[in-house]
Amino acid sequence: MAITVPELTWATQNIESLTFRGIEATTIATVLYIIMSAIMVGIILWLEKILKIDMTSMTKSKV
Amino acid sequence: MHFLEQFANWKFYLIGSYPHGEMGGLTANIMLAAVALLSSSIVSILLGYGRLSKNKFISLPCSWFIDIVRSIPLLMIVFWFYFFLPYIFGGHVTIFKSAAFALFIYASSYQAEIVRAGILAVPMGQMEAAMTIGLSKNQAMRYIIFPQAFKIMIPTYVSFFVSLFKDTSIAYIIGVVELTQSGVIVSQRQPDRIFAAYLCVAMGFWIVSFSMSSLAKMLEKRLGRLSLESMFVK
Repeated sequence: MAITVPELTWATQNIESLTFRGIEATTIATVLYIIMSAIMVGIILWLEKILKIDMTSMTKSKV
Repeated sequence: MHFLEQFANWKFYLIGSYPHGEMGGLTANIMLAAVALLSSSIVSILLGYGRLSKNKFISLPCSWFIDIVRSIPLLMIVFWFYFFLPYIFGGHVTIFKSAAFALFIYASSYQAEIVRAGILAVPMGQMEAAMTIGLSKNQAMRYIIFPQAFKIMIPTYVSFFVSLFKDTSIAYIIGVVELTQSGVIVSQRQPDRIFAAYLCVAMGFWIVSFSMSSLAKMLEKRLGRLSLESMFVK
């Protein structure tokens, strides 16, 4: 945005300057950001579930 | 050396055009960071402790707030607080105030996670031991868990303060004359010395951040390691 890389925030400012509908554009961009990070959090939680080491089974097998 | 000539502008880099205008430069950065940190450290304890609450009506709003603020970029938060909330609710907010408020919201949700992690890092046995000697749950939290959690939190907390100080440069985008903006102004006035101007900005940030992080190392040596040793190593 600050060095005019055409990413999402820049696009909202562009839409505002073209159509003067800043609030709508920014709301959609905010929702998009929340969705994107929610997807990433979902993937990480799924990975955590898969890669979890079951400590109780480990100690049992050693005994 | 163009770079050495930039030191003639030292007053503008440090305090902006203060006696004739608003406070700016590096002082504005430090003021923004200090205001955001002081106000958010109180709210973040409430948010972080509220998220751990067993009452759904307290824990769900806290975790929603933290998750939503943490998942949108800081730039978006600054835009919301500067352009749109005054538009929706009416009234006029100065740029400095709205930047400070946006940073406060940002910092409080990030620090709430630090607080939550600090409380969860205290071993469960501490709580159980406190209950067996007859303390109520609130007393145990106040006298046993929180003092230990704060000692665990200190290193993370200080490193977050350093990163918050660097994040104050985002106030440039809405026109607060802080260090980045004053570098931009100087480089626009002397377009042949852009490199020297931005080098001065970088030096200003580096001096403050480096001195803060070395202070943090000293604090960590004195407090962090001592408390952790006394807790986990017998």
